[in-house]
Amino acid sequence: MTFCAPLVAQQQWILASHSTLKVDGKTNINSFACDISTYGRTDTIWTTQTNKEGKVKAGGELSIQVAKFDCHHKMMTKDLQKTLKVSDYPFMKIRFTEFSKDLDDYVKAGRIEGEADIELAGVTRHMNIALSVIPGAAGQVQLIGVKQILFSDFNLKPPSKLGGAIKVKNELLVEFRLYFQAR
Amino acid sequence: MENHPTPTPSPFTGIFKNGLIAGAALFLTSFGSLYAAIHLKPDLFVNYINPIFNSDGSRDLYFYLHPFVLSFALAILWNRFRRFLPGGLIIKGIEFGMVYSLVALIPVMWITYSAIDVDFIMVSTWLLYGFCQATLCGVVFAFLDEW
Repeated sequence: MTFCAPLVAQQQWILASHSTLKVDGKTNINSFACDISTYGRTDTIWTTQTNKEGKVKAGGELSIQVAKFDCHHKMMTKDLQKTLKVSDYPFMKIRFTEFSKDLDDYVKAGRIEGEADIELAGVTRHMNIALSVIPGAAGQVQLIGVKQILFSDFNLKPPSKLGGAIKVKNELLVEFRLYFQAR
Repeated sequence: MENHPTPTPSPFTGIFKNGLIAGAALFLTSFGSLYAAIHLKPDLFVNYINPIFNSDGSRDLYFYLHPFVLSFALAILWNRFRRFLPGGLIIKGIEFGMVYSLVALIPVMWITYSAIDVDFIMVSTWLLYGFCQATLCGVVFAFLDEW
């Protein structure tokens, strides 16, 4: 007797190298914005519609080079990279696991919920992310996600200098713009 | 009838007392002025968000003990050289601050600036901060001597 898995269509999406990531944070003396202006490589994720609720399984991994973070201030850039333990964990990883709707269902902009495993400094956290989907021409989709994370979510201690007189706040606002092309 | 001479107090007692009192004064003024400066001129402190400065709080105790380390060291220096410092309290204090700055701070700041990736303004503020600290100690020591 042979068991056959139901045939499901898998859609592959190529992540364009000009995708971006931005991190906004605050200290008790200023605020800072660190970004990765270009992802710098291409990666592939896939989506598969699996159940009646219309939820979509996703897979594939985005590897973001922590050393590419630029805070537009040499010392702050170095400090962020040190805080994120760049020498031990050079990549931040995002693995999408589920979307509330398929990305190619969109003919005009809309919002979906995404779930992803985010790995930072060797610690992985499963997170829900609110996403905006903006369809483009010929199978192109722009995915914009904004998520507030905490240094402490990833067992990181926000930097504190001069005996705690200068402190970086625990909250970080992460915004990514991912440009996908259907394969 | 035997005449007993009055025992001379150990110089260490005076050094300890001077160090402790000046250390307390230095602690209050140093950290008071540091927090006030961060509040009033936050831009000056952006460069401290820099990996060369300890980030994890593991050395905070050492940081807050610094006024006492400095005041005890300066109390020893004062004990040896106070007789060479003429004038009133303020003049003595300023002169003491200048001696300390010339002998200790300028060479240390020079090597710091030459070897470590810190900017000139930061090193200059350390020099000024150290001068003010030593001057305050000098004033306190001179006051305690006269008191």
